[in-house]
Amino acid sequence: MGYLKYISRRLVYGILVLFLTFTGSFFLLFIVPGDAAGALTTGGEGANLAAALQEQREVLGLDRPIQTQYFDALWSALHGDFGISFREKVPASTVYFEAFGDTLRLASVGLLLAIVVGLAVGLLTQVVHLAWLRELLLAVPPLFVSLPIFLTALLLLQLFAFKLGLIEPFGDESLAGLVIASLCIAFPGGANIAQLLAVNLERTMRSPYVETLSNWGLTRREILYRHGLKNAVLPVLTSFGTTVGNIFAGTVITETVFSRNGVGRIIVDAVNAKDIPVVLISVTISAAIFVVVNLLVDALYPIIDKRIQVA
Amino acid sequence: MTITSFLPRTAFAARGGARRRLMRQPTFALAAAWLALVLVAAAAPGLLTRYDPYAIDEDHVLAPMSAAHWFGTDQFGRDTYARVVYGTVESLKAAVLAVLIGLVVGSLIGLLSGFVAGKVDTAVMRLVDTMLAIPALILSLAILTTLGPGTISIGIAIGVNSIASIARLMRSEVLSVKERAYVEASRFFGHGMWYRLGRHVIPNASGSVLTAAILDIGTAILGVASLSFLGLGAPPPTPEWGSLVAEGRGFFPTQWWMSILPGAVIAVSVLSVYKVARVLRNSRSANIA
Repeated sequence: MGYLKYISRRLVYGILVLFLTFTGSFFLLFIVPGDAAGALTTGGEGANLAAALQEQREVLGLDRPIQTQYFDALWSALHGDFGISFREKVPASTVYFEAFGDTLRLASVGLLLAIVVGLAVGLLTQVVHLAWLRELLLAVPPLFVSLPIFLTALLLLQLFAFKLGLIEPFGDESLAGLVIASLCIAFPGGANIAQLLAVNLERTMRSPYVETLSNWGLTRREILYRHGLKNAVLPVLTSFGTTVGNIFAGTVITETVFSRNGVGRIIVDAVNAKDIPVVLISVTISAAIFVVVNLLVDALYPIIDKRIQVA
Repeated sequence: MTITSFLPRTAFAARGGARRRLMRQPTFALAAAWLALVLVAAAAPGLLTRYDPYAIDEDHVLAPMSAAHWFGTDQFGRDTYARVVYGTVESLKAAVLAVLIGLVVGSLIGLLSGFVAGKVDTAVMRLVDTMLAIPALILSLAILTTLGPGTISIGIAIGVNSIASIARLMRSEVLSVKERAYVEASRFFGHGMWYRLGRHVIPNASGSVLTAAILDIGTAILGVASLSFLGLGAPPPTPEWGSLVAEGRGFFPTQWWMSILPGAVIAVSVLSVYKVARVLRNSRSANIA
């Protein structure tokens, strides 16, 4: 019973976060000069244009008070309608979700690689006995955290597209293109996971209970795999939401450098063109992804660690 | 054998020769030296290069790296190294503005939230969590939609991202300091809230917040460079670290140095900030312990 109550509380809280995100972005973007009417009205001059603008504003309901517009926008957004894209003249949701699949694929492969590489490197720092290799494994992740994604992307592009000719330099749709592009986001994400895991393993393996277990005759390796890893993975899981958010944001740069289709490029174009409906849906969906991931983490947490009191 | 040899060694090392001990770490010394160089580039770029970053030289277009042009030249014959040096000030301006926004606004929110507590605290923390729920780059892009491109806009857009984490940190510090005996004693002596805040809470809570802010400079440099790379910074021909990488992209397969070298400067700077920030944080916690 306690668990259900805990989950429903987290759910309500997630919905609140989404609501605040939508509201905040709506009012932030409302300040932008120039509205949908200006973007959607074509032709006409002088008085003619002014009349057309006024007519368009009335059609779109932009002449109403802001609070009416806000509740209307909120109600529509709940039905998946974020307005008409100023640039593409089609619903913003159509523009966004047409590109969503490409980004989802890129982000998923990137996330998967980040988790696998991050956990492997983090674990290796505790398993490897060679001092120099250990130092190297500890030194590499901070390097990758500091590397700008666009620099990694350009280096990978130079190597794989221009030197080795394995992928097309512009918008390669093949599997190789996908994996190589996803490396740019996997590096910083994986480096973060590796760093966190290494620090926590180090700390866990120095805690008193490890000494007790080792007095019982367990080898260091047995303690590491059976007990240490489980405890050290928890903080990594907590930061999982942030990792997913960063990986999702990383696709913006990656898609630009590799000229790939996707949400990231749509957001950048929308920002440059002040295409407010598209920006609004991008921010809202990004927050929704974060909320869902965190909800999953929150749901898993008490199952993995029984010590956590749910309330 | 003196009496001091029985005492924990760290207690002495951390006080007496702290600076000397730090400088003996080669990577720390290198990082500090690099950052000093970056500051010189920002304050007096003329000291580091004799080229004008805007001077067009049609005889030396797209020159490779050489003794005369360390980073080569661009399609207008402008010296890329000079453009990186002169671009430092714009990039650093945005990054410092970002950190200051995060530090000032975040600290104030955290201070208020932690000190007032109760319903205000709950409401403020919900807002902070919401800010943390939006991926940094996406929030920055939304803000830039409203502000329009430019160096100052980028600084604001990046700075808003660090408000939430600084506010959280400040709040937790305030909560722990608030409960300490000397603050209680001060309250007992009849000192008002503002006095206690200024005299006890802020000085004791700000240490770790400042250390976090130094670490944030690295993140801010990265964020600023990313937005500038996406073409949202100062308009051309103003040089900026991120936009220099983007400009070089057009000549990428053959003139790779045009974008990779400015990119490497960004990476080394971020790495240096992280290194210095981490060492400072560790020596701080060693001092307390």
